[in-house]
Amino acid sequence: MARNMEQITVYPARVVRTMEPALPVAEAVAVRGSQIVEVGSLETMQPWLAAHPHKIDDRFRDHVIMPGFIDPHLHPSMAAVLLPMHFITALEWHLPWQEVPATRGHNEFLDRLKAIDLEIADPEEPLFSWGHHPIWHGEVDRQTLNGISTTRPIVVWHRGFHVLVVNDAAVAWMGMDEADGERHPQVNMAEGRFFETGLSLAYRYFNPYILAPDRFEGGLNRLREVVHHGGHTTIGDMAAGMFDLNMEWDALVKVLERDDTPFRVQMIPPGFRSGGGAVDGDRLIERTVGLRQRNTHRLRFYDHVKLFADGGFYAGLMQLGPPGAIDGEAGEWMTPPETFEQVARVYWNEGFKIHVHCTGDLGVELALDTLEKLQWERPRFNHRFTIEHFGVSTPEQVRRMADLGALASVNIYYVHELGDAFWRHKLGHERASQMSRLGTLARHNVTTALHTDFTMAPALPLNSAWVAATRISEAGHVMGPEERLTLDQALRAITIDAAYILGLEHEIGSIRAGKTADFTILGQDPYEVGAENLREIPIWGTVFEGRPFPTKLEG
Amino acid sequence: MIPVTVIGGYLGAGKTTLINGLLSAEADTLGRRLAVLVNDFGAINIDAKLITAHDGDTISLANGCVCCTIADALGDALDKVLAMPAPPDHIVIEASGVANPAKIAMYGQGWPGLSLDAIVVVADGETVQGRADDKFVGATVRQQLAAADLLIMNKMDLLSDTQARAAHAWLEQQAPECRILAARFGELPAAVLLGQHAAGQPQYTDTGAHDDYCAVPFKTARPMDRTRLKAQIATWPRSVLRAKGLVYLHDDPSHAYILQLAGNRHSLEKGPAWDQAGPGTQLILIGAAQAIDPTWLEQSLLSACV
Ligand SMILES: [Zn+2]
Repeated sequence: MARNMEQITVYPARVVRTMEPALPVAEAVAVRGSQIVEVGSLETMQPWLAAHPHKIDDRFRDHVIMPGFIDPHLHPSMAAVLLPMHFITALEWHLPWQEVPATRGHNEFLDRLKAIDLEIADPEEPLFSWGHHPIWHGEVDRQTLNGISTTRPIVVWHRGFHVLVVNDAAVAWMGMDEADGERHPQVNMAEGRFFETGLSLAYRYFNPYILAPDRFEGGLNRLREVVHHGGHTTIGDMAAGMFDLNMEWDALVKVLERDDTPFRVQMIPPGFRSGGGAVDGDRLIERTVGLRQRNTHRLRFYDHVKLFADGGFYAGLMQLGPPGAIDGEAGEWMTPPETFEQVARVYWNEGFKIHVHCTGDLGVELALDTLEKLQWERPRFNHRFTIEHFGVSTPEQVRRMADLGALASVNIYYVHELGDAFWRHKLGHERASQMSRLGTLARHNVTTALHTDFTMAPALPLNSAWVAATRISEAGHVMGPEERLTLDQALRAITIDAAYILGLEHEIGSIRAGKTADFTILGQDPYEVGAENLREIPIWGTVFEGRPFPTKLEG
Repeated sequence: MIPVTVIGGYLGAGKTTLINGLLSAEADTLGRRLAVLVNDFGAINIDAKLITAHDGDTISLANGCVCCTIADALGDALDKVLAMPAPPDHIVIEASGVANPAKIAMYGQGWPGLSLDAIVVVADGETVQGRADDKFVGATVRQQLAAADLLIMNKMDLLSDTQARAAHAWLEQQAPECRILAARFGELPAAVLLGQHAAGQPQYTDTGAHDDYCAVPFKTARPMDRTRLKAQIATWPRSVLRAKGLVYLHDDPSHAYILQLAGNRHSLEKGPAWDQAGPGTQLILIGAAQAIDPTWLEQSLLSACV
């Protein structure tokens, strides 16, 4: 009779925020195995409890239960490279192993660097720091870094990864011929500075070190902690295999496919990795579908694929429509528009859910022009064509997205971190204040998720929701108040609507009977503390597939 | 150092045809072994296609990812070429259809073991004007044209004389300083595309069966003045496409200096000490046969002598 003899566990809570409009607030949730059997109150769930063995687990009595948070777009491999580095940042970062204080000022930056130098026992170990920003920290050069150490290789990496500076010891450690740096137009050897294309020259010497399997696995272990501490139970790797698919896959399986990893990773591979050339549709499909043979319990390729329109937002390479950029700089295409259309058609006709990296409004335009053509050729419903990032856009594009059935997965941190800088140097106030225009998306009922593109923004869903609902820039300005989400919309964008973007809304993203028991356990109720305080809410930990995973050891 | 020629231009301009022409059995690469790196789908594969006729390799490479710049497929591919047991004499990189070739060319300006020969940009004479006004790729196409040292107006077989003149005039406007060459089916001699062979003394070869281009040799035992030479080069007409050779300089008589010119780009760099044959300038200039004036060029060079 009983298909599942496993005991039911009932978690009473201060409040359960289900994110289901049909039953938004509840008192308890009952879980059997990895599945929710009922959400409601101890009274309403009596028929279940009378019929099956059960226990009441009171550990969340004073906590708030929410659906497990979802970030549909981040980059574990990029994080694995970054997280072993020493953070010296203008804004504070909460890392599981360390509270990184805000460091502002030139001398403060150097003091922090010196302190880290003294902390590292091995005098030969290279010191990679990340987070330098001239606006906050002033310029550093080779001589400045020689002042920190003449023996330890020091590499200071810019916040946006576009510049790095090295000391004498680093040049010696790299083993590069200084003459090569001297003739490179984008390397200043005297200042120890590598920028733009000059960075490739530095990576040539760094990559064997920073991509070495041991260090990479160490970085992935840290990523694992970051994802857990942020309260996620599902993430999307939105360009799986960015360095080297086989190397990364081996490391991902080793580090993440473990019984104590409290989240799953939806793997979305790039659908096409080229700047041109012929498009062989059969081969693309065969390769992309073939990736699913690798699937494990937590790491899953499926019918989603990533395409790229224009360049990176932090790099300022987005394609802008009129009136263009203040500095007159042109953006870049990651894929030639004709090729983009051909590749999109291949996946569209095979029924794939297509995610398109679009940072500027011209990038969005290309994606929507293409979608409109494909809809004309072969109409599809429920196709989940998703615009990823959505930095600069126009209101008319949002309306068109609604007409065409497109969705949005938005990096809202652009507003916080780049809002002021892009206002002054790139876009002017009107467009900079309307970056990541969530309010318009909501007004047109376009299903919208928030993502961090970690390491582009901290992997903290409540922090993303805070920016979405307040649009407060790093300098404290409210950027485009009409483009704010309501608190409820912002929370949907990190739960049920994020699940919809990943095509998993029938399994996760809200708390209701039949769904997977993925919860994020909070110390306060977001609906009580309000939008301004979202990012301060303490996270106890998560429940993943029915099993509690505290971020700290209990007791 | 191995010279690198970057071939840029928008999708469909004829870059691949042009490169295939260089690799074809009939092509005279002046004895050089070429490695060609092309943007194509798939992983980097050095053994992709071995062209035995010239012992050249074609290497496919994937574009780097957007979200990060650490993955560097092109740099890795170049290192693989440099590590080959018998490295090539010349590397040709076919830039992607939307790349800014000036960025790709940076690899020739600081990558260990490589030097930049030139940026050659191919434009489809028939469609380039329309592309330059396209809402999506207009800026990209104009940026590519502006990056060229040598601009090749391709697919001339598809144009009437009037159309060809109009296209030429339009390209001249886009790249006023640039050398513009007309081509059909991407056919151009290697001496124009890649310049003369770098190794050793320049050989006096003609440019093959292409009557459109001619080589002008120049030889003198008299030393030259560095400043005057540079001033003279600046006066050379656009019909001079390439120049290469050894220069005997008055201010450093014991060393040969290597002059290389590709369209607008030229360099004069210190080379080895002169051999037993003694010092003496030896150059080859390559230009458009109809337009180049050998006597005028000879006078120009002689006037730089001390
Ligand atoms: Zn991304």
